[in-house]
Order: sequence, then C-alpha cells, then structure tokens
Amino acid sequence: MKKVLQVSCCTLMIAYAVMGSNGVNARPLLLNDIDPSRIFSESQISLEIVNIENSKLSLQKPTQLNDFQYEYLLHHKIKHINAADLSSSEHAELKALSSYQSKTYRVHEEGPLPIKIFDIASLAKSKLFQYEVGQQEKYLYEQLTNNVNAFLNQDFNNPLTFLAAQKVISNVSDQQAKAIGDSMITKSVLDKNQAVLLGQLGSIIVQPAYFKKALTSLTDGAEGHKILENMNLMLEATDSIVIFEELIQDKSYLASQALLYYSKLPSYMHNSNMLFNLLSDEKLGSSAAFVISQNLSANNLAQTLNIISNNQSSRVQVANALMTLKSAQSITANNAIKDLLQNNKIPYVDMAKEVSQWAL
Amino acid sequence: MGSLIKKTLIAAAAFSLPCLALSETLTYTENTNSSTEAALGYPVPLPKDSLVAIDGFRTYSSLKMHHDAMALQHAEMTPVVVGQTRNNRDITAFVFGDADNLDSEGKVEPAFLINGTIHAREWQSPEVVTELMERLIEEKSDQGMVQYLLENTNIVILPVLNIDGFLQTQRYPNQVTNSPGTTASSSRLDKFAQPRDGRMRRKNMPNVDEDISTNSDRLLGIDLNRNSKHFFGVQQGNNDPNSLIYGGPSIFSEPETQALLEAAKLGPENKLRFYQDTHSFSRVLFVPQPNNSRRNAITNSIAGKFQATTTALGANYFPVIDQVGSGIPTTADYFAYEHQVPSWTLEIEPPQGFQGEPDGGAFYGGTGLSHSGFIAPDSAIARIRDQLAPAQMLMFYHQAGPAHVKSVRIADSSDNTVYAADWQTNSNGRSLNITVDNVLQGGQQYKLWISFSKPMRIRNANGNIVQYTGQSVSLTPAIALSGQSASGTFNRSITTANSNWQNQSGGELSGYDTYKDDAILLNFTVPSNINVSSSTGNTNFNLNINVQDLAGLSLDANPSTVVDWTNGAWSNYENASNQLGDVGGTDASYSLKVSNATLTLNATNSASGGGGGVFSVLILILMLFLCVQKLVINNVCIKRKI
Repeated sequence: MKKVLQVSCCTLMIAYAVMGSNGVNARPLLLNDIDPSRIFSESQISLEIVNIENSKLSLQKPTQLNDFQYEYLLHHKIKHINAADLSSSEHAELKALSSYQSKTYRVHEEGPLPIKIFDIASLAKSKLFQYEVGQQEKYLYEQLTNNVNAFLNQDFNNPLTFLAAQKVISNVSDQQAKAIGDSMITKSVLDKNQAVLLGQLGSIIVQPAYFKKALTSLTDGAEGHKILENMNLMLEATDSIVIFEELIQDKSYLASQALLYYSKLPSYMHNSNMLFNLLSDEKLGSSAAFVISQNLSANNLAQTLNIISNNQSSRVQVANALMTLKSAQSITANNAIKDLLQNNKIPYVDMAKEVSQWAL
Repeated sequence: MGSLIKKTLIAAAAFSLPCLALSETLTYTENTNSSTEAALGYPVPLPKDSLVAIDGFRTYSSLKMHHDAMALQHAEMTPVVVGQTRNNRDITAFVFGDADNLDSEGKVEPAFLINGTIHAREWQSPEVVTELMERLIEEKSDQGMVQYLLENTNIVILPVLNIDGFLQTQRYPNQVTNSPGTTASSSRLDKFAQPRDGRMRRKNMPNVDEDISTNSDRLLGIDLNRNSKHFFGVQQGNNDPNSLIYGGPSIFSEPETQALLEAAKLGPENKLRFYQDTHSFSRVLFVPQPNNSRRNAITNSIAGKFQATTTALGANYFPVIDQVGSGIPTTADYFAYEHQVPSWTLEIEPPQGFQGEPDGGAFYGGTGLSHSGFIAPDSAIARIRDQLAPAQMLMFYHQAGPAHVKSVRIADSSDNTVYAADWQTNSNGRSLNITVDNVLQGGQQYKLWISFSKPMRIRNANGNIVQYTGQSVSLTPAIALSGQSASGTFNRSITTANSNWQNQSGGELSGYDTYKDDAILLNFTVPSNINVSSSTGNTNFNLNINVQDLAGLSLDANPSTVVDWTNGAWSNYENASNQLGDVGGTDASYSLKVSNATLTLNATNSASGGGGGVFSVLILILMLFLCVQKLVINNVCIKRKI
C-alpha cells in the first residue's frame, strides 16, 4: 500500500507549484514529509496495541518505549485526566503538551496524506479548555447564588462565559431556572446567546413562554433547531402548535422543521388555510405539502386536486400539490394521480412526464 | 527478512483476534467520557427533518423529499433512477439542464458528474452536494453563469449513492461499535480506535442487518470507493471482507457502483469533462494523475483555481497531486483513467495536517477524538456548504470550454451598421458570415460591439465588474487594430474598460447578447495616421480580440473549428498562431476596410513597424524645424553682413 500511495518529490514540487500560483501558503503535511518508519498500517496499529496490552510498559520508563508506545500511553494518560480538577503539575503538563508534535501516523484511506494516530496536542488543549470552562462555571455559579442579576449581566457573547453559563443552567434548581428565565423574558430584545440560554431554561422547567421567546428571537444558528426539537418533545400539543404556527407564518429559518413537527399533531388542530396557502411558497411549499399529505382528508384531497387542475395555479403550487399526493402514499392518493395522468390534467408536460415515472 | 517477520506477526495477531465475542457500543457525547462514552467536545449532531437547508444535517428522508420536490417544481432538474441499493432502495441521479441536451449551437452538451455520499459516515457530503443542487435551481434565471450552464451543459448530480449505509449512520447518530479484533472483554486495549458500524459505517450493507448490536455483520460491506476497475485490489485490505477498504468480490460488483456508471451514461459518458467524488474529511483534493500530461496539466490548473476560490472564502482546499500512474481503486481514479477527464476526490473539512490548524474535530474546539472529523458540528455545515458551492460552479464553467467570439458589429456615429459578422454553425464547424462590410473612415469614431459564447464577467452587489471569488484573471479585454501599411505593419490598441461589459439587455450595439456580460460595447476612433501609398482604394485593418473568461481561459482564436474535449485535453482550441493546444489566444478573424483617402499618404514607403506613422511625422517636423532654423540663421548672417 505504501508503494502505491507514496508521494514523490515531483509530487511535492507540483503541490508547491499549485500553492505558488495562487498565493496560498498553507499546505498539509504530505506523506513524503514523514519518515516511512513513522507510518503504520491498520494491522500494525492493532499489533502494537496488542503488544502494549500484553506488556507492562509504563510512561515512567520512557527510554524503554518506542514512539508508538510512548504516544499511546501518553494519550491514554491525558484522556483520563479529570479536567474539572487539575493539579498545578497536570496543568503545566497539559500546557506543555498543547504543542506536542506527533511522531506516529497512518495513511489517509483515500490518498497520500499522513494522519496522526494520537492527537495528543488537541486532547491536551481540550482538557485545558474544559478546565477553564469549569473555573468560569464555578465563578458564574457563585454569581447566580448571590444575585440573579449579577449572573444575567455577564457577557454571554464571550464563548467561554457562554459555555460555562450553559453548564451552570443545566444544573440549576427549578426555582433558580424560573428566576433567571422570568428575568430574561422581560427583555424586549434578546441577543442570540441569551435566547439560547432561555431556550435551555425552557427545556428544564418546561415553560412554553420561554420556548416561544427564545425561538422567535433566533434568526440563525444550530441551537435553534435543537431548542425546537426539545420543545417538540416536551410541550403539550396545545402549547406547541401556537409556537409552530408563529414560526411558520413568520417564515423563520426554523419554519420547515416546525412544519414537519406540525405534521405529527392531530389533523383537527391544523390550520388548513395556512397550509394550502403555503403550497405556493417556493421554500416552504414542499413542507406544507408533506403536512397535508399526512392527513389527506376528502376535503384536502379535493382542494389538492383543484389546485392541480386549476389553470390559475402557479407552477410551484401544482408541483407541491402533486407532492402532497405522492407523499400521502395511500391508495386514494395514488388513484388520484393515475386519474390525473390518464386524463391529462397535469398542466405542465415535464411534470406529467416525471409523475408518470413514479412507482405507484 | 525483518519485514517478513513483521508480516507474519501481523497475520498471527489478526488470526488470534476472532470476532466471536459480542460487539460493544460506544456513545459519543459532548463532554462525558467513560468506558462506554467518548467526548467530542461539542454537541453531537443529530439529523433533523427539514426540507430546506438548515444549520445542521438533514435526515435522508428530508433530503430525498427535498430533492424530489425541487425536481418536480423545476423543469431544469430531472430525476432519473439509476439503480437500486443492495437493500433495494432507489438510487436517484438528477440531471440539470434543458430538455434537449444540446447547446445553443445544436451540439451535444459537455457533461459533468458529481457523486455524493459514497461513504456512509461522511455526512458533510450530501449537504455540500445538495447545496450545489439548490444553487443551480435558485440561480437558474440569473441571466448569467448558472443560466448559461443549464442551457449549454449537462450536469449530473447523484447526492446519495450509499443510501443503505447512510441510513444506518443516521439510525445510530451517536453510536459506534468496537474496532476489529477487539471484544467486550478487551480491557486496556483501545477498543474504539477504529470504530465501525453505526455512525462510523463507511461501506454498503450487503447481508448486513440494521441492528447495531449484531456482531457477526458489523464489519461487513463493500467499500464502494474500492470497487472500481483501475487498481482494483492493489491495497492491503482490498481483499479482506472485514476490512474498511474491502473492494468486493469483483470489479463493479455492487449495485451502487453500477448505478454510478449508469449516472455517468446520463452525461453521456463520452461527453464527460469533469468528475468529483465528494467525501470528508481533510480539506484537500486528491487528484489522480494518469499518464496524460495535457489532461494532468488542465486538471492541476483547475484544482488550483478551486483552491483559490475556497481559500478566498476562508477554507484552503489543498490539491494533493498523485504520482503519475499510481492510484487506488477509487471512483475518481476510474474517471481519470477510464475517461481521461479532470477528476478528484474532494475531502471536505475539517482539515488534517495543516500547520497551525487543529486536525479533525479539534478544528471545532473538540477533543480531537479519533475519527471525530467525520462528525462536524451542526454549527459548521452551513459555512462549509457556502465555501464549496462557488468553487464547484467555477469548475463547471471552466470545463464548459473556452469562449469564442459569436458576433462583431461596428456602427458609425449615426448608428448605421458598417460591419456585421457572425459565426454560424455548419456541418463542419462554423463559418464567418459577414453581412455588412462597408468602408470605414480614418479619424472617425465608431461603436464596436462584440459578443461571446458565454458570460465573461460577474459583478458584485453594487453592479461592479469583479474577479470571480479568489481568481485573478485579466479583466480588461485586449482589442487592437493591426495591418500592413505602406511603411510596414501597424498595431493600435483600442482602449477598453470594465464599464464596456454589458449587463443590460438590448442585443447588438446596445446591450448583452444572450447572457449578462457576454458582450462588450465601446467607442473607438479609426486611426488616420496609417501610412498608405495611394489616396485611392482601401487598407485592410484586422480586428484582434483577446479576452479571458472569468475562469482565466483565453478565447478560442479560431472559432471556425469547434472546441471539444478529446483524449483528456481540448481539441480544436487554437492560439493566435492557429496552433492547437490548451491555452487559446487572440482571435484576428475580422478584416475591416478603411478608406485610404482618410489615411496618411506617404510616398517614402519607410519600413518602420508599429507606430511608424507617428515616428515619420516627428522626423518630418524635425527636418522642417532644422530647415527653418537654417533659414533664420542665414537671414541673421545676411542682416549682420548688411
């Protein structure tokens, strides 16, 4: 394998040439940069680990260790350091190891790139970061215990503070959670990280108002999707439907996800007008189609068919109405599709062609 | 000898580690480590249901429904079922373009193939490929680059090839099983150094159930990126069914890889000019190099352009160029060697091995846990999608081929057309059809309008012409008049500016032709100081046009032969000297007649070259000056004498 993947000097030169022509300086470590003795195949790695397992090797006697053994044991040791309670010597050791240069590599599965077998530097940095978050968490917890406002006045835009605050909040009592949440919810505007914290509080004490304020305050970010997911799991349908509909009608960045959760609510709770209106929406139309398809009543079927055959309907509406029938996966819907095809009721030729290929 | 002993030991060790014991499961967590948990250092992404792009990863069912809905809504996107997976799920490729597969001249369009999710655990792949699909649709009416691509090329995108495997990873989004050769009873051994199945499944799922706790099948499956024709079986592990890189019983044995071949036929295959297999992670391009220097030079050049665009967007996708003739049985190698097209394996971020940048999951502030690079956090994927789409789009634009001049118009100050020429397609190629060829006058100002076969420039939000992200091409066209005067050859540049590019409709002599910025319109004055030997008759002026497109490709200097892609390089692509190659150059096909009566009569027939006319005039003035001076001096002398 090494022979096949080995990179020649010529390869390196080409790589540099490509870099040079574009003014890009950084390049990854290439296989040719590494002494072949430092490259281990998967079976060699397994064998090395078995050997370590079966021997009594120790970091205490580093001179008796080869690079693989040393890095394996070092990695193992760091992994088991408790970052919440670092001694000063551990702190110093982690700091020193943060710039550790790995000596053992394996080959990338897809091409001539060496990969560290043990990423000691990253693990050390991560432990130090966890320690710092832990220290900040202690500080914030003290603040919270003394005075909720002191806690709330922290700069949550600081990533460290924000992470620590999330940890503090995950351990607060219901009473503390309510005190923080009630205070936050009175703010007319929440910045992103405050909204995330409020959403987290909503999950702790199951407060629809917290979820609503958090979700309607957020305009982007992965956290909103998570909060919405939690809300969907925690709230009663009567509470969640209000928030879903607000997100959908506001065309929030969470709207499609909200629509798919909405589809699982009982159909009698659905706002049919809202859903059918959305069929003309290029972004959310297919999500609305899916909701309608999950509860395709006779009325909804008739309305869907009417959209398809009505020559006033837009292309988007027709396509989404057809998606409604497809997603329903019912005999009635399939028969309706067959009828549309047989009677040439699909107004767009390309759509009709595509629909004719659906496995019904 | 040493190596033989080593190999024997390895074999013995492998034999002594049967997979008979129960498999063990590890759960990825954000922060908790234990014997059954491993911390990533950031929230473990779980797939979400959403039919639009989100700050996170979508479920397969969401992606599929989204793809299907887009295809139904837009005539420019057609789904084609190209096969079924081992577990009988339809594999769908999507063809982007117009219905006829013919370009604006009626020729079969060039084709590109993008493959996604060949490896199940590489969740970045379907997201990045779907973003490309979304952009092709969202920008289909941009009257620019995307519309041009849809109308003149055939783009085939297969977003999820290994559906069975991908679903398995989404079924267990935070769980994996132990390394080969380890069991629950293995104590200090690093049981999860090579995690398999669940979230870390890479291969397809033949005879594999969907239950992660089943030990007997968790290592099985075929690496679909080792099942191709070229270099089949060359790697250690390619023949071991338990290996991560098991190549399968025979070349293209798997229905999934057969489906990929079917997708290529949608191009069709003989029209393919680019292939990308979309993987993660490492933030590099692995670029195969068959023994074809022209193909390799073009491929490496566009890999550099890809890198430049992503770098400008904040992510340096570094091309790792293979050794010529060496390879492994990947699909990228297959298309490089079999079809001689630019081809690569795109490894999406996180990076690996870049100095000063943490590897894998540590790039996102994670613990650097082994294999964590396959699990990019939710918060990263939107940025990743945005960083890669423009570079991929540029590859299509480049491989669509070099531009050629379509039409030339010249009008006088009263807007009367005095010259009109159009390249018209015929059975042999193209011929220049000149419908107006009036005589121009030296010293008079004219309007010049030239249209090209593709959009040549892009603009920023303020409407200003800018470089395509990360590129550095010559934005200003080089246009000149040249010819043979009585005193030798001449060459006069016509001043051009970015403002000459047309992004308003209007057609000839007024705006763009077919796409925004596919035409330039400018005023120029025919030089009069060209020496002629007679004040009767006309002198021929050649119009020379040299422009780079926004990917840096120069014009096809001879549009009469149609550029194509043959044996891994451009064919019929001429430079200014009409020599074939891959660089193009100045198109000087247009001869304008200029009245000698409006040019400078010069009986001396001096043999000076370009600019000779001005030089002669200067000499004339100098001689006149000397004569006058002599006369004045003589007069003074005479007066003194008097």
